[in-house]
Amino acid sequence: MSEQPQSFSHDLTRRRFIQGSAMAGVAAFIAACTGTRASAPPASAPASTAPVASSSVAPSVAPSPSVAASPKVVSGPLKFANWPAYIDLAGAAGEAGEYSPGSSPSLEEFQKQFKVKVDYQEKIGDNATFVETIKPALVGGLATGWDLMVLTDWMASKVVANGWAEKIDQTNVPNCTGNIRDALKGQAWDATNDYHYPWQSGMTGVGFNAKTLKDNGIAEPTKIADLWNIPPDKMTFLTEARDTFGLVLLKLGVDANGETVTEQQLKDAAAAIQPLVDGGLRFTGNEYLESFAQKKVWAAFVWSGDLASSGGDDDKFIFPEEGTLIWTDNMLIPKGAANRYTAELMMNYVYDPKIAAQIANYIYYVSPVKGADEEIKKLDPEAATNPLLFPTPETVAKQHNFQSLSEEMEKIMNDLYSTLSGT
Amino acid sequence: MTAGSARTPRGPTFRARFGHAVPYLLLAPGLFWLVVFYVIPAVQMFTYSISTGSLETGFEMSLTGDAYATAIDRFGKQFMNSILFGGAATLLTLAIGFPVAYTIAFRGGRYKNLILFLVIAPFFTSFLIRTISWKILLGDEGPLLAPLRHGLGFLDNDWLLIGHGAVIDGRFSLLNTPISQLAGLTYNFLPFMILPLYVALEKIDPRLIEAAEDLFANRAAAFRRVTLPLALPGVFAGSLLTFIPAMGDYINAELLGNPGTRMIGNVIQNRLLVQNDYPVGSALSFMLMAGILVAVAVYARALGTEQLTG
Amino acid sequence: MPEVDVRLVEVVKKFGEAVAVDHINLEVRDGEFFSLLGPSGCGKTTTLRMIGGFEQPTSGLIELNGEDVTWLPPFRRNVNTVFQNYALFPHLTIFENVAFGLRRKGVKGSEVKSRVSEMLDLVELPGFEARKPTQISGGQAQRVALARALINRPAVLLLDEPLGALDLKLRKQMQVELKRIQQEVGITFIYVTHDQEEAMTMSDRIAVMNKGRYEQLGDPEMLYERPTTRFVASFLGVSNLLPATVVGRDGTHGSVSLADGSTIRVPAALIDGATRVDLGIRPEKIRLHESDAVPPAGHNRLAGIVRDASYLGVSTQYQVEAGGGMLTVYEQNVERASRAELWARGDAVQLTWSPDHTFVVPPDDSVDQPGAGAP
Repeated sequence: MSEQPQSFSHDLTRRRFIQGSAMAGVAAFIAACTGTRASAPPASAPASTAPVASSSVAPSVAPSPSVAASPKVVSGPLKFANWPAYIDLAGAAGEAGEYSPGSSPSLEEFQKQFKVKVDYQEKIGDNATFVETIKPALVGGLATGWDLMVLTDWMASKVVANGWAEKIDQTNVPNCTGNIRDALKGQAWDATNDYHYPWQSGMTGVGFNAKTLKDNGIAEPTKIADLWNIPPDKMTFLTEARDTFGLVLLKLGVDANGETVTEQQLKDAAAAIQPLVDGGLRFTGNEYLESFAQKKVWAAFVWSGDLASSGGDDDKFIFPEEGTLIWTDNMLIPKGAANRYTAELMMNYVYDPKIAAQIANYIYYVSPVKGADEEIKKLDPEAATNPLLFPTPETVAKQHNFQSLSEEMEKIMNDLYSTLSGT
Repeated sequence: MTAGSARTPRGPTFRARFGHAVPYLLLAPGLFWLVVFYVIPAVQMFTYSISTGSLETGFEMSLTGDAYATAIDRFGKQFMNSILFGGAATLLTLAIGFPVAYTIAFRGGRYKNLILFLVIAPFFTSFLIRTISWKILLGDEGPLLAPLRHGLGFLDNDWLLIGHGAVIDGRFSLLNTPISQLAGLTYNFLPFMILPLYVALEKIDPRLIEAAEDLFANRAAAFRRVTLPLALPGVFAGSLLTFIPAMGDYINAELLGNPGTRMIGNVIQNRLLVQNDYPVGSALSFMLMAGILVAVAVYARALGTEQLTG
Repeated sequence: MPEVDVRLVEVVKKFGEAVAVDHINLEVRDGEFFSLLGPSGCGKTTTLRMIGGFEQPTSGLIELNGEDVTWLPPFRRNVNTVFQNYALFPHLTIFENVAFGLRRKGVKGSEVKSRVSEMLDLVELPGFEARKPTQISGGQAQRVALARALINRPAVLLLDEPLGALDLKLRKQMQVELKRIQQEVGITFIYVTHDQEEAMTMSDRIAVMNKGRYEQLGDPEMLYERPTTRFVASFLGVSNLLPATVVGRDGTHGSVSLADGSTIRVPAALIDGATRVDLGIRPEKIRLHESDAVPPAGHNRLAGIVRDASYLGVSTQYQVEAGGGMLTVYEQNVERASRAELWARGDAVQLTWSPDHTFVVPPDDSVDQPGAGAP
């Protein structure tokens, strides 16, 4: 992504802008009091404002005392922030479709194996909202309280560009280096996986409750356009503006490509959504799972695996005829994380094909781990034909990547979304 | 002091020298607080509101007023929502709160303190939690609607057309409608109305009401001519304490409303914290402040509070 | 108009278990200044509030102009009240305060105006129309309260300790004023007070109340000269009470014997059928003489010894031990004007008074009478 250097200088501008020297003093004071380790003394940040030529070296500017070999000592509890319906579950939690401590076999196994506690929380409903909660700490050079977080490509790239991620010690993650699928390597924003490894990939499509639709005499949707025939106050689109705009672009017959999208196309998409908003359409993050559970929502833009793993029997996911959006969520260690080595162990652990298969086969997303496919087929022969795990060639042909918008287009889209969502 | 001062010369000397400064010294901490945490940010915010630029390029004072133009242009609806929802919530809290305050003040007896405690009891829970609990309460399958939906089923009818957003195709919902948003606002600000009303009503000498009845005013007339006018300072205070924060509130709109019912607080929050659009966010804040000042002035005149104090 | 303006028949008022008013029967005559006098808690204010309609009796009947008003609310009664602390409406001007009742009755603009100014003239507050109650003095507020009630031309005006909040001088002045106004408007006043002097000054008749009942009802002179109970004798003025035994009678007068054996003559009617009584004499009725002086013919006489003397200017107050008790005697400083001429402690004296100035009350059997001599 060509905008990276800009993003970086943006970071410095922001720091200077928000905190000022007094703020830095306060931050340092707080850090001293609480004993949390401020990875980058904020006062030093404005010193290096020179634009950086290449994106790959972007984060190195923030002097990171922790880059120097971190002690290979397991510490905990590992604070792991993830999205709902994104981990394998067993027992009652599986029935409820909601994580509770002790309910995830893979996490239990990790805790047993490394004798460390994992504090796993389904805290991320959408990228912006979650990052909003940790941004003050990151800007102030304080620890966020998290050791591992999972963010979608576009947001992960911003976090890395801003120097808000810890560098991964590759010697600690042999599984990752060895097993990451080739297609996922070489992302412009972190080409050598210095800061991230993918957690899962997935698609954005349409979900609905078949029974409610039937009860109300509405045909099951097969295309995005069919949603315009459903009462808008019984629908939600996503607060992830990329997903919402991307799918609506597809509905309009436009190629949802982040790199080629135009202002007019985005405006057309917004105009298509506006009547639904007027009729009561709402925008949600991953909370749409709750809405489905409460039958409050009849149809929605949803992420591919969620309804299959955590929805009710009548909740269905379809790949709309117009196409789907593809994206990848990535594991990152936020700057100042207290348990970096343990976080790396976790990354390495979930890149074990067996574990990867166990998770993917439960959550119905596409695993980034080589060899997981074979393991899944061993676990569950039927899964081989599950299009959520193994998208068919037709589906793949209609996958669109709407992640890498230019800053200009992103601003326009955010502004349009902002108007739609009433803010 | 006078007796002591005769014997100790320091007393009068000290007073003579510094006595006049005492009121200012007492004001000093408050003034300091106000200057540091209100005046300075307000000035800075005003500066942003007449600036252009972005976080990336930095902000520069341009004195253009573009931000104000954008604010008026794009967010008129949210301003209107704030006025409507803030106003309606104020009227509702008044309608609900007055009888409550009246009962506590005149009929509370020995339960007065208990009832007052119950009025403020919700404050022991955070604002956010209380609002979220309304989400559960008003949900389609919540304790309120679920029995109606499944037990009686009469809500699934077309005749219950309450208005836009409330009923679509006869499928009744409360959550994420203007009704739920108004209910949340009313609930959250009710104590701010009840307490000042109670204080005003409690101060009324019951003999004044007896005097009115003695002078041939029936219950209604005594209420209208005596109780109500004497409670006006409480109505005024309660209305301000409700209207101002309700107008600027964004939690209720966010959790209980829908995109069409967003208020100006949501926009300010989004502009300042999410989009980092400081000029427009600041301009909106200033316009809200000015709008509230004007509304309060008009209201004060209408109620004639200056007469009451005179 | 009937002769009787207000009638209370067997009125009882209980607050929970406590009996505030205990079977009261009263008749207040048209146009009279009637006082309910008694200590706090005697039920006088409750009685007044029942007449005003602010309390409902537990049982009994209240009539106004011959009409049963027992259950009518205040605003349906042709009665107005002057409240203890005036209860002026703080949010209204003096004009609107006074006009309040007229407006409720639907009297129209110009008439309201003329009647208010007429009424403010009556209470001597012309030109106060535009002021607020917070801008006038206590005495002025008192007059406004009076005007506000009187303007409605009620059949009865109820006054609940209206002068209680005023200082002594103003109170005296207002007493005269109230009486003047009452005579001018000719309206029946029912006046509640605990101040016996106030009641005596203004009232045509007084009911002296104690413990929810009235002990004696009559005009001030009768109450003072012929109290019939210890309570009345003590509450109205100062009384000397001495226990006595009836020994006989001759025509218009009878004789009683005191503890020290001396015999006192009293009007025969007072001791009809009684054997033991308490004998009463007001301090100012007694005259002191040298012990060997010859008293006026037919007067009662008692030998005594001066135990204490207090010079009060207008009079001198003595405590004299006589007749088996301690008697209070007031002597005008007329005959003996200089201090040297006054009786001194230890002097043996002779006390004399007219038998007709003697009164009699039932003997002291109960223990909870108020202290003798209390004003």
